[in-house]
Amino acid sequence: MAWHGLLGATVAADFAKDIRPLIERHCLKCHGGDEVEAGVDFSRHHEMTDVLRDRTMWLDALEQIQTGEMPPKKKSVSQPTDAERKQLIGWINESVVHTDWKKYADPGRVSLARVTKLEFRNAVRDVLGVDVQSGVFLSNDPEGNTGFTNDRESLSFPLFAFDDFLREAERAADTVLGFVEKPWTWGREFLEIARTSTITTTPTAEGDGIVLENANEPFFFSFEAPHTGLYEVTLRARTFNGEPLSGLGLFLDGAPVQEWVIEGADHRDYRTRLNVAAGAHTLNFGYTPTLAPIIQPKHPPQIVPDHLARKMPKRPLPKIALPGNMKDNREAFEAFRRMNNIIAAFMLTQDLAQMLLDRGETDYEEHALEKSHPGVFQNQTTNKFQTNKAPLNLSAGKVAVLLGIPQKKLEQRIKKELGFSHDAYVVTMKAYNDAFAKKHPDRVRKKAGKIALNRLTLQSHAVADSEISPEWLLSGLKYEDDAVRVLDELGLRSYSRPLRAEERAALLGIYRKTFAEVNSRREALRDAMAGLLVSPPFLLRYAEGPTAASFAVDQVEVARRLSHFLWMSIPDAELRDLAAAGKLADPAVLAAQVDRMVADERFEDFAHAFTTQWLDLSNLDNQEKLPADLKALMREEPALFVRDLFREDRSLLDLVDARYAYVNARLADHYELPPVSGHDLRRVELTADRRGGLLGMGAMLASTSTAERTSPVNRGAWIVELLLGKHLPPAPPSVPELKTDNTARTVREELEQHRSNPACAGCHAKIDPYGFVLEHYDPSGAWREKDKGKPINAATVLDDGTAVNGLAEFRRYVLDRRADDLTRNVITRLLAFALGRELRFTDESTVLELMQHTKIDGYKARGLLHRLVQSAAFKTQNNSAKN
Amino acid sequence: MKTCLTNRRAFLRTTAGVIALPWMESITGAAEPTKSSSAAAKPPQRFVAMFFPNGVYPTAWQSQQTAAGLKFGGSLEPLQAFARHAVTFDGLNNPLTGHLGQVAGFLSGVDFAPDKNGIVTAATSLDQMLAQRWKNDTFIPSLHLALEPPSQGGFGNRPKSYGNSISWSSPTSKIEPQLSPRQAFDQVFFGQTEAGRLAAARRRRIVDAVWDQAKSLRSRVSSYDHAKLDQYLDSIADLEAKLDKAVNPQPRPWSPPQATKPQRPEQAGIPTSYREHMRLMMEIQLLALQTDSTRVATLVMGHEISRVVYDFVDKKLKRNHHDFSHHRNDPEKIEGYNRITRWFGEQAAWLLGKMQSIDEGGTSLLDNSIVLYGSGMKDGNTHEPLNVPVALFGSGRGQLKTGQHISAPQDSVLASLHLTLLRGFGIEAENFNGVTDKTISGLLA
Repeated sequence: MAWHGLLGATVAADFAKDIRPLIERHCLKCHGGDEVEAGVDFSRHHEMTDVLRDRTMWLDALEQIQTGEMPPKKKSVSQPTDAERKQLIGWINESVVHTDWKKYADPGRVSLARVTKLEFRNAVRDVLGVDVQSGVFLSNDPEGNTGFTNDRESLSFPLFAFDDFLREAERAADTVLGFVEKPWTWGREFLEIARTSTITTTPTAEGDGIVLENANEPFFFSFEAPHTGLYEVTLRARTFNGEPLSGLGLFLDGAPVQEWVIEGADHRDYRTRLNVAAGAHTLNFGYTPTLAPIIQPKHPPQIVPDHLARKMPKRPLPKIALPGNMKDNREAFEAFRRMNNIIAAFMLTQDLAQMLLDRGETDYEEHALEKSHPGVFQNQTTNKFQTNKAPLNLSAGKVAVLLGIPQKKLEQRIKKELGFSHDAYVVTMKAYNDAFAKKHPDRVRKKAGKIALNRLTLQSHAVADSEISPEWLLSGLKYEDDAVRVLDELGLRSYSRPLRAEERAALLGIYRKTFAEVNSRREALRDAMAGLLVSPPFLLRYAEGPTAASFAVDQVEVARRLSHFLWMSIPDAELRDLAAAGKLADPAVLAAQVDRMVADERFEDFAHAFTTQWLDLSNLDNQEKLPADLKALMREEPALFVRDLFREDRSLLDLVDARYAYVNARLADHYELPPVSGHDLRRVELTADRRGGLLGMGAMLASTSTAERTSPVNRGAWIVELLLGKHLPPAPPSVPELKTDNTARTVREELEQHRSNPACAGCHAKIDPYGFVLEHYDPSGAWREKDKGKPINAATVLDDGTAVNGLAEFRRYVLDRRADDLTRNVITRLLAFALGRELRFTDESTVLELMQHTKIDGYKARGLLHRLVQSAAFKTQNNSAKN
Repeated sequence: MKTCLTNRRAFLRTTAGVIALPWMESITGAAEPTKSSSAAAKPPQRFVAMFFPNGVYPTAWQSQQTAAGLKFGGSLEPLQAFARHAVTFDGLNNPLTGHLGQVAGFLSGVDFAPDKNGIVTAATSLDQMLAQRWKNDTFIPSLHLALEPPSQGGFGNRPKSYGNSISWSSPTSKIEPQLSPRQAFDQVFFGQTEAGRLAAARRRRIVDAVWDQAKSLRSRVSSYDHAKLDQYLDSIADLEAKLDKAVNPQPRPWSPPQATKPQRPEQAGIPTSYREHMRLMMEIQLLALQTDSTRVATLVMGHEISRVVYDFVDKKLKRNHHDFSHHRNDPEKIEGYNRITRWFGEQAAWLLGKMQSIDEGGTSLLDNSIVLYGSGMKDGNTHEPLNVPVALFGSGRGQLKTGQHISAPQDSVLASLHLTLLRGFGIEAENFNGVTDKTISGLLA
């Protein structure tokens, strides 16, 4: 029994003796064993450590018990007495809320695991001095329970992986040693190809080059690379006949390796660097018109509004009749029905277009002629409405076969008897489109220009400006001693410490055996290098130490943890030297290194990986309706933001409330900000409050929507879970998809309806309001005033009773009332990423300390980083800790 | 599983260097069966799939059972000489979505689609099921060749590039066929040459050194980490086993009696002549089968959204294949369509002729194989999924009853044929990728 004694001291209740029986009596019926309501399960809690592991669940339970919501007041549920309720609340407060976390503190154990694909590529780059894109052919890493790919627990070593890694290591060694070969160039004048080719699908010559169009596939040509190495590819091209901007993809052996935006009406050079193996290869091009920036209409096309549908002239829609003897053939029936539907749809849209033209009405907000009419769609590039003749052809073809008449004859019949002519339809549509374009020239998408390719050159021995030519390696080719020196240097870089005797012996063993076999020092060195790059200390991440207790990881491991955290790579020379001298134990030195690393360009890999994985932004790729170039920009924006958050030591609260954004011309236009020129993303200060912070960014807004509509549920869950770090129970399996096609209700109205159902409201009251706050942002992240013709309602009441209207007020709310949640969330994510493992209750004291200091410090991001790397969790390992 | 592999590795090390290399001799000269081979060893069974895209006009695929045997019409006419080795069908359906689904699922019965995590998932194809069964008996488990590079861009809302392959080694791994004849040749034969053996031996030295390092790590890390470390070790052991196959080829119970001298293609890259390219690929396929370097081979004779123009077959054929296949019942286009499909028949006839001429000790290579020739749809104009054109040639060393035409019962799917073939090869499967558990009666001998 818990009571407050005379001196205010409490005597703690014992969980097993006092509290568990209470839970068994009043809670387990719905929350344990067979029934587990809302994911809350008490049946597996037998001891204090079990409770602490599920701390968040107990904190939620505390809230519910205090408000009397739980146990629910139903006849079948036995209610605790007042004394029992008090005891339970007291105990939870004692043991779960105000626990002395220091008692349970443990540095935890980071699992042994391989490096991630990105870490491998970067590490090879840093060892050899040039980026040979090593590991680019490996399959992508999965995200672990932390939500990050560097969750070491989840990184497995698949059965064929060693073969793949060895192949990549050999390729890397061959590439850098390829610098010993003679330089090589290769060029092709495209006009020459056009002139001499006999194949009829060769691209045509135009615009002083050959022109690529979709129908010209496959257009490819072969070359033979004399040695494995880095080659610079230079393409000379221009655009013409349209906007001076267009997209071109380059494919090597069928895989995409580069995307260029071809700009300008004059021929210009476009360059890229490729890592190519010795041997025969093919290069081909793909034309991707969506890379051209296009100005989108401000509102997407809608279905025919009722008021227009009513005004349209009524006419009976005739159909081709089913021949008498086919009544029982299901397939025939379907074919006829389909063809008739398509003809009807075409006729309707033609009538509508004609009516609008006759009345001179081309300036109403919603466009008719949506995809809901099969066979009609809006061309992404030109914004013009088109018909897809294929549905009609395929249906007419099928019906013709069933009727036993030639297809051409059937089409003539459709023209004559039904009065439908596809050609007349096309003419009407064109007239409508032209009238519309005349009236709203700003609303018409610009057509991407054609691309003329002039010449292509390949050149070997390509090294980027920021890299060091690998020629120093070639000094290891004369005698064995030279090779040993080179291997020692490479080993030092790879392991961040000098090679041990047995390691050097192993590499030398490979070297000598190969030399004995093939009598080439270069090949011998190559094999030894490959062996180094797949050896355990390079390919695996682990901390050597006593296997049964906690120990401070050695300085080299500290350096490695730092570099894998902030650079996604191995330590550089400066870090290595400091580690060797034991200086990283000095907090001042460690802090200075963190500062240096954040300022380094390698920090951008961290910013990208951390931001994209934390915020689940890869969902953006599923947004099919967004143009590829806009998506690419949207992916960049949050990463840049987070990078500078750390670089400029800004407040973590900027994540929600920043007075600046990162835009370029395209993005500024999309966000309706004052125009900016140029392709590069740069920071602009904001004067209005519609943008700024993660919630104003297209990435978040678009990745949480479907193609047709926003999803306040997705957005709400994103805010509650990913931004504020609260746990939401999983949706029950029987919840159906929200259906909103063809209704006149806005998304908001639909969801309000659903929330009036008490079974759903329990959870949705905690989710939907957060999403409603963002309703002014459409599925592409653009600002909107209306949804389905009705004004947007972004006023809502959150689950803690606060009323907010729109993003601006919501920002204030987060800053005033949820700053703790936001901060705690960022800290736990950052810590999980830095450690490469999930956090447990044993990390709670670390988290609380970091929170406390971050708050006092004004929520500064860099300070948090400093404190994190100084924490015990980062610098210690307990090899006997269970995970 | 783990202990099995690591023990195997130990086993291989002790037997290394003891065994002679009968393999090499059988490629470059007349073979002598090794002392350990049994004189009565039978030639192995092979499976070959020859796929052509865009279907065939219904009247251009005819097979009639007459008293004198099968009589072929339309694009099957070039194959008449092999009628007594053939089994033709009607009533097999391939109800998958459009061009892409009908090619990706041609040998698996399952269309490809992203699962809830966004990973594109289909199903293992028939050829890979066989390859996995036989992989320890041949130098490479299977050979996949094609002629047209994958197309780019979207088709509907799916990537066109999925139209280039009929083989999936697992539900999530599509096999990319090889386009370059020289690379295909090296894939099959390099590892079997002296130079290839040396290269494998070199790799093995690296692998040995790494293995020793890795083993010693076990005692220096947490016991919780042993499972992960063992994954790493198993992966090394797996590569070791593969390299050993190249360095120490095992004695085989059967060696090809005929000598062959494989000629490496002179030209690097892809030939500009489609005709020449096709011939080269078929030759390499033949060599691979003949030398028993592999027992499973597929040839994709054109990408499903084929842009190839067959003006080398007939100057009048000015449109590309896909265009012709959407003939809209125009007689001129149908004629072109048929001409192209017939050309595929002529290519298949060339290959079958060669296979027939290779004597493997009383039976021909054709007798010992099952060649599946066909396409994923009937009339390309409507992507017709019903009654798709497939024919088998060769009895697989007596497994099939050839020289007949089988009418499958209503609503039969292609997967039934695959299931029947699997059972014929001795693989007991209850159903085929969950698509069907019905087999085709009367096919197996």
